[in-house]
Amino acid sequence: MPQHSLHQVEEEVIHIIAQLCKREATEIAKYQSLANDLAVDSIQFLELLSTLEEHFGFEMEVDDLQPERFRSVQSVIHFVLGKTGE
Amino acid sequence: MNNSYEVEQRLQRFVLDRLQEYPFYRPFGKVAHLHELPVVDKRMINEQREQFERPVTGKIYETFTSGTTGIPFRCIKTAEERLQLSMALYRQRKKWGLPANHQMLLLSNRSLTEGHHLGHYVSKLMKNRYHMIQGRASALLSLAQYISDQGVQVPDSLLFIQNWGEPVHAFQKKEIEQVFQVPFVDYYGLEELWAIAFSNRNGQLEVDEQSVYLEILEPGTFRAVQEGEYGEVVVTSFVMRSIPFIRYRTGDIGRIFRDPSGALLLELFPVRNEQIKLPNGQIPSSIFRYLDKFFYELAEHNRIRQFQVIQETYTDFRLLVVAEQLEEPLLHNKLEKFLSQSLSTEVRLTIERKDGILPSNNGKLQSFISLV
Repeated sequence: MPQHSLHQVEEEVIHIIAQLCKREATEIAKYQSLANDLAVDSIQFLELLSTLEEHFGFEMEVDDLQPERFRSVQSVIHFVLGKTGE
Repeated sequence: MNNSYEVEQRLQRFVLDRLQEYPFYRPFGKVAHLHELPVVDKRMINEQREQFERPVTGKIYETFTSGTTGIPFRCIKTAEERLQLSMALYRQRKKWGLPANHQMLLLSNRSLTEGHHLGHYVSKLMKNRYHMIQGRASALLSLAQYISDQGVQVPDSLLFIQNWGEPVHAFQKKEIEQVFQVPFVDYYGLEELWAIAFSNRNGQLEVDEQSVYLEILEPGTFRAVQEGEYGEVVVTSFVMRSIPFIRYRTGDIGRIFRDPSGALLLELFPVRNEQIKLPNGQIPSSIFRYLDKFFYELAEHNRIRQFQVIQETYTDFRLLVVAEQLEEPLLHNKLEKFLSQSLSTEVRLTIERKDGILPSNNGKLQSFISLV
């Protein structure tokens, strides 16, 4: 699994979420809720999981799928940092 | 989560601490235990809807259900709730190997007895590399039998077949697994709060304790039964907040017990899935789920509190309706047409307004009964 810096992970997660939501990265704020602020639906959520796996080179475990880990952009960043060993 | 103490703690944190949000629960003040709260059901929530809803902002998803009790109910979910429920569902499916980037074939709620419907699904199966197929057990069986009869090659991308919305019989499961050569995964849930339990690798229904808290209560008294004893399944959702489902009656009978690993298992009491009888076979009454929205709209306009469809002969049906007023022609036309189309024969429908509909001998309110 490739090592990522904190800043790199933040940037890349924001970029992935921006693409998913069809917005510019500058429109994505870390405090934003995926469901309420960014209108991420269940299909997009699965797409997010798949993209994160592919991009960061880890496999999602069953126990990773906890609501608090995907509540906001910040929590997704935190989750990915945990998976990439940063 | 298979630690009873952790579950109780979660119950305290997520349920009891937020009761003040709902007018219905405010009079109870600060309670210490769930069992101090009343058991509720669709009828109670319908009659006092404003007492159970908290103001929500943002997008709301609306669906309808009558379930097996024939009481029309409007379900709402916020975007956050829907996402959490979807995540819970995917978490269960992932245990069966489903990747995030997957393809699912979803079978229609309508009856699947006609060849051209089944042919359509087979055609889709051939063109796409589906990982799972989801449908009612009877629809899955029809598809399996069609595939077997036609000698169709099943795609090797399939990981499992998932039941939805109908009790499954052992012979159905066996035949479906034989044809598709993948596990048949059972699912138990409610439209109101989605997944309650999902098959584990031993073929048992395992309760999703991250999403729900289950109680088994003695019908009538609502006292808790001993672990392993049968009673009514009553559910509390950790996810739903737009409408709280706290000690919510499912109308189903079952029992729960922990296995040696600590997982909470659910066994539902075998219910005879009411079938619409035909001279040359039968159709599951769950096809009436297709009309869930129709019945809810009727409930809204006509204040229909409950309905029951009774099959009196192969082609004579009676609709019992508990309602304050009734648009009979609309209801008659829609339902008679639906039945005629579904059964591929002309039917006769009569409508009867009632003050109440009694439960069956098993104590359960049923939305469909066949006297044939």
